[in-house]
Amino acid sequence: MIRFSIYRFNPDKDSKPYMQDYQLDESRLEGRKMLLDAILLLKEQDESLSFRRSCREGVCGSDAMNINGSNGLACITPLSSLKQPINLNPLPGMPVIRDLIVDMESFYRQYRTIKPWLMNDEPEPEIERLQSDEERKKLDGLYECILCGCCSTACPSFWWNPGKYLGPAALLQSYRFLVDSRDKATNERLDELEDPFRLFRCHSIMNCVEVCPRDLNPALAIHNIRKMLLKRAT
Amino acid sequence: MAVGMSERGSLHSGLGEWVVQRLTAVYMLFFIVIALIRLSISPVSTHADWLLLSSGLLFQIALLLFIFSLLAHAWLGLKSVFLDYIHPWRLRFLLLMVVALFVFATGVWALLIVIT
Amino acid sequence: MKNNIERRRFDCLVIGAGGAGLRAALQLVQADLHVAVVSKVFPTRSHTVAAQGGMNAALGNLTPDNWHWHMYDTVKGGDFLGDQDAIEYMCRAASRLVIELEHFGVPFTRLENGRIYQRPFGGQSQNYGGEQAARTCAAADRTGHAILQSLYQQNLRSRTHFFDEYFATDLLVSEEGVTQGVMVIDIESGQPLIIEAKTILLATGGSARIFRTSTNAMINTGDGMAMALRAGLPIQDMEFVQFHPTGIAGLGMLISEATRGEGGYLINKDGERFMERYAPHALDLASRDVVSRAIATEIREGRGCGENADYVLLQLHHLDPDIVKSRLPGIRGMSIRFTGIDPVDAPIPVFPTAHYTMGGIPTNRKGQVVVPLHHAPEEPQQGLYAIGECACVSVHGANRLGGNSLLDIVVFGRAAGNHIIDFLADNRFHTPLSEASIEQAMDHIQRWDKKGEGESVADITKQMRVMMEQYCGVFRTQDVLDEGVEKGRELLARLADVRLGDQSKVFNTARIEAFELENQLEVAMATLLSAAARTESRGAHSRLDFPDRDDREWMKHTLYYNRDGGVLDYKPVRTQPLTVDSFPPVERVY
Repeated sequence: MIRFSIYRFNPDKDSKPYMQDYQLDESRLEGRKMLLDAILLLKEQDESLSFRRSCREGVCGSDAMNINGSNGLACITPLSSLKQPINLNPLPGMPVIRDLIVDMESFYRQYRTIKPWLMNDEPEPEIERLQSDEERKKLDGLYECILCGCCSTACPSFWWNPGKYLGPAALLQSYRFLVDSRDKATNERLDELEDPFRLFRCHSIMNCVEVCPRDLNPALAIHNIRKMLLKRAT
Repeated sequence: MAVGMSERGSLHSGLGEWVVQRLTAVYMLFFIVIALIRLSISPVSTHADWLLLSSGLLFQIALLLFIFSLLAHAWLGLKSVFLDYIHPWRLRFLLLMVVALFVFATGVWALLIVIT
Repeated sequence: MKNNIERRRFDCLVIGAGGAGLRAALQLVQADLHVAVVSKVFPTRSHTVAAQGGMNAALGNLTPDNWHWHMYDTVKGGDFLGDQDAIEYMCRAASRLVIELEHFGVPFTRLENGRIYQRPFGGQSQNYGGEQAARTCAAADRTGHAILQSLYQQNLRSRTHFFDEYFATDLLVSEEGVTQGVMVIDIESGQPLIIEAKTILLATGGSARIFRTSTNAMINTGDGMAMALRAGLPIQDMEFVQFHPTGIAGLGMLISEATRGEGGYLINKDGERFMERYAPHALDLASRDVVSRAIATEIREGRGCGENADYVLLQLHHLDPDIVKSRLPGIRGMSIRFTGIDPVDAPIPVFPTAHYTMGGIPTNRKGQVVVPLHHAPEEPQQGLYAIGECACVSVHGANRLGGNSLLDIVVFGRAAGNHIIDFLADNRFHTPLSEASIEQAMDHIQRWDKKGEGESVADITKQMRVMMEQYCGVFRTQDVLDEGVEKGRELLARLADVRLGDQSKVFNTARIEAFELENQLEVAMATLLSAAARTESRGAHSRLDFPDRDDREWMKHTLYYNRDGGVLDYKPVRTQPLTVDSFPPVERVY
């Protein structure tokens, strides 16, 4: 038997959230070994248990949740790595809609704030904009972000100043465009970032690096943005 | 329940403070290391030793720089803590004023001690 | 009740926010139209994100290439069932649209000279069946992710209106058959909402989730196809389901064809590179249907690996580990995570896995839904469009080539957008909504408010998926298919007894899964009945009892209607391209 303790809240009928215990017979997993496999089976037992999921292979970013105190994607978290009872909570610091489902709007808004699109006013060539292999490699570790929200919702600075501090995910994406050799809006982007709240609330707590399910490093990206600002100022 | 992303701060800053905080930290570390080396070579055990040491101009400048670095560093650090935790702006302003006053007074006091 | 339902109005409503929907929306919003996109998941979670290998275009950055060779390969890959006018259109547009994506910001992998990296993929040739071509433009092995994000970003820039986490249940169609709007459910609040639109574009993706072992995301439940069926429209060529040769055995996660493009190959339990026997020329880069059948045959004949001899191995460890790490980082991570095997050291266990629906809502190359209404087999349905995997243009025919699906969504997303812009110039007004259709849609929604004891959604879903795998897999026979049809009808009958235990409103995912089950069963029945009727082997539809292709009898598209327990009709293949000569059917060897 695998034991779970899961955060439950249904605004239709609950006045306040509570933790519910579940048990799952291991044989029902039929060899599958990820946390998502288990909670899908729990949902068969109790269809009111609610969570988001889609690709079940770690690329869509739907099933981010707080697993035994640490944010992660259920679909790529092996059950064998978890101490029982497995504690499942919604992503911290976000308004809960129901059970493990949180309202991600503030997170998405931060993403939109950094203008996450390539800006280049130069005339378009009829072929691709050339980019050397070396320039392209600078985007590795940045473009892979799946916007699951694990990092930002693990960041104390984000909890303390939601809506003001951009958070690790948005800053990582900002840096993705800052270092893209094809993007020509570096100055405007830096202007928008140079702010005591938006960028400088990062205190290098490093939770973001710890939890990223794609092994990306937002803290390094933030550090690099500061270096760019410094270089521009001197 | 959407939370709005606030407009960029009117100060349009942050870099300066971030740099100053790091520079002051570096200087303080440098000063402490030098001071420790100096003290381990010839310990200051009497008041006379101290007077001799503190009469040198170079030492006075270095010490003053250290004190000002410490105060600047503390000011920026506390300000950062207030930005993080204290959200009602009146309370934050009041606390910042108290700290500013304290930092300023300490600075003047230290200046008077060292140059007299 | 129905008078209280909130209503919104747009020039165009796009349903689905994958690559196809987003590309179309971008075209529309840039033409200053009032466009909304409804998606049951946040756009970057759409299944396009999982596409790995890349997107075909005859850029010729690595090997000599031109669009006509690409067209030949696509026609041949589709076993001559594809419509050649649409294929010509797609292959001609490919290069321009890859360049456009690059300008949108897609971080393609680069060559030394700064141009886009292209890799060899299955079924690609130079000079009409000659040497292997390298035609697939790639961003490492995360091309779909890169394209989806860039398209979403461009839509954000253009301020497209998104309805994130809204589930479309039914098309609202007037008595005259004009599509006027869509009934959707706001998943968060559970409330219905009517969205009126002068034009509606279905971009809801595929349905390969009807199979138990599938590379598809859990959201790929054929919602758009089922909506079309419920509105009385046919769906086309549903018997053609692509089984990807290399899903992780038993689990189904996709291991991209890029692994073989970069030099990997398949081996059986004797360590034999068995594709040498099935496709002496193209080897492991033959068409997917060919490779899948080869694997299935190896296993049937007892040459599978493992205790139960039920999979084969995909070997990569003879390749330079740096190539694997830089060009296939996602695949490597996936293999380590799910099988514990690092492909740099040891081969990955793989098995043919349900992957792609070649069939779908019949459309022409402008994205218009076309049905046999009165006189012709392909009369456009005014104001209704379909693109991407939920549509059947048909560019993929009986078997899709790897790298052609990302191309399909971009090409026809843009084409449909352009046609809608033209259509709206002449059709400027909303028509008054049909009250009857609203009532019907509300009845459908309220069906799930029925209380009491009954069967569970999860049970039926599970049984359907096992049933499809057992009765409609890689190899098919009449007896097995007919039995499958019976089983499917039983499940359909039992659907009436299904009750939801959870009747709450807010973010009720159980209710959404119930709607998805209805949709999947509709699609499953279409697949079974279409397959049972086609007594030949063509592309992905492989009949042991009819092993040959029969061009005289069967070079035609299937149309399936869900009335009277399923009705079939047929229409001819469009063999005449736009400007070039037709490629007549010949024997297909790789």
